[in-house]
Amino acid sequence: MTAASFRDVERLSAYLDGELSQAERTRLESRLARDAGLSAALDELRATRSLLRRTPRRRAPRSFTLTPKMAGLRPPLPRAVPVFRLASVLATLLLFATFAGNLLGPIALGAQAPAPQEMASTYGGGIGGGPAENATAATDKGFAIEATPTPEANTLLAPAPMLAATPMPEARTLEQPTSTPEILTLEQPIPPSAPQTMPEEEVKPPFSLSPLQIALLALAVILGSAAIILHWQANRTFAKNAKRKT
Amino acid sequence: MDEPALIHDAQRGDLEAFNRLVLAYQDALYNTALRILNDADLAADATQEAFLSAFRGLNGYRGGSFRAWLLRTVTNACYDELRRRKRRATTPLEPVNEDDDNVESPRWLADPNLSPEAQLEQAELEHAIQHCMDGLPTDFRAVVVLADIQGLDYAEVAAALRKPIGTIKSRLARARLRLRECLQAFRELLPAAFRLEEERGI
Repeated sequence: MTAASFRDVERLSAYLDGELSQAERTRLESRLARDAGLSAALDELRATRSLLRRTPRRRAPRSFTLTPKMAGLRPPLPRAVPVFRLASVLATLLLFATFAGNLLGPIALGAQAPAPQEMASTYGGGIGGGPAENATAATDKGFAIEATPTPEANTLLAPAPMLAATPMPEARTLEQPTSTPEILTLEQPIPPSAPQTMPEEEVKPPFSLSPLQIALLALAVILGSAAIILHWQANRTFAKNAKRKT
Repeated sequence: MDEPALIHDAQRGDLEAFNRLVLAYQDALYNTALRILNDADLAADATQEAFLSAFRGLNGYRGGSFRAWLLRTVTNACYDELRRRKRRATTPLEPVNEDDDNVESPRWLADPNLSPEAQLEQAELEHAIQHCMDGLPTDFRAVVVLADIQGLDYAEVAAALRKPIGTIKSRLARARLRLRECLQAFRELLPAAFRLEEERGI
């Protein structure tokens, strides 16, 4: 009688469970027929195994069914909630994207485009105060004369409104007396309308909201609160139902 | 019981369908936890915890043996409990303690009209097995409980414990070997059960 190796015990154990392949089983069976030690080991394992299988079973001490409250940590979510939530998040992201665009835009791309427009419009405001034909002529001249300095000035200095004023004194030195309602409007508070419009436009880009931004903001708020309200309602009806059931 | 249909409904949040599954499996889960933890109260907690996490994670069940899937949730809950116990270190991890609150008022699944002798034998058998089981490392104990007490096949045990079949095979053999040695000390206390099997084996 030889003591069975652990490999053999493993094989015998799997043999008892019917987990050996056909080939392994026939090989083991022919060895068992010859080896008394092996078959004794098999008998002991078999006895142990069937003893374990007879372990008394207890009845569950209570029912483990879940109450709706226990399971209700997750009431069913209305289909629309995640959609609304996602849409609200997207609107918010877009809103931020437009802000980012405003901040970066004038430096990167908008430097040339918006600046002349603004100048034109301020001139327009100035013109209202002064003699119209002179003014237009002057602005024409002004533009013609300034043709060389302005592109530089615009490209370099456009974003800062203070700087928009600096080329003007230059312009005056160049143009001399005939000039220029626009310089007056810029530097002297004589026509009250002009200084008012200037600061407004200076402040506008960073703080005011475009219609698109307002729409996005409204969308984000509305969708977000819709999601919250729907979710809350679902929770409430779920809790009510749970109460009724128990 | 149409198990696939109940599972399907439960996966859609039907709690009543799930609770019918709970009633069908609670004895299996409770006994598994009881043999792994050797503590009736902790076993009940682990069983409850297991069903709760099963309900929450039901969509993670993708076919196969539902029984094995459920037994995995309960063995996980037992492992959590053992880890907690180890951290608290109020009780030794492998207690070789004598008695055992769980023999005091056992509620057998077996026929309640057993003769007093048979009941005594049951109690002694349970005591001996639990005692020997407690001497095993947790990983081995879990394999024996699932294979020999719950009767899962190797593939199911492997799925429940997330170990390769080869590991299951070798752990089961080693656990049986050690249990055999341990149980032999109880041989005289287990007259009918143990000897009968041995005689039949020879």
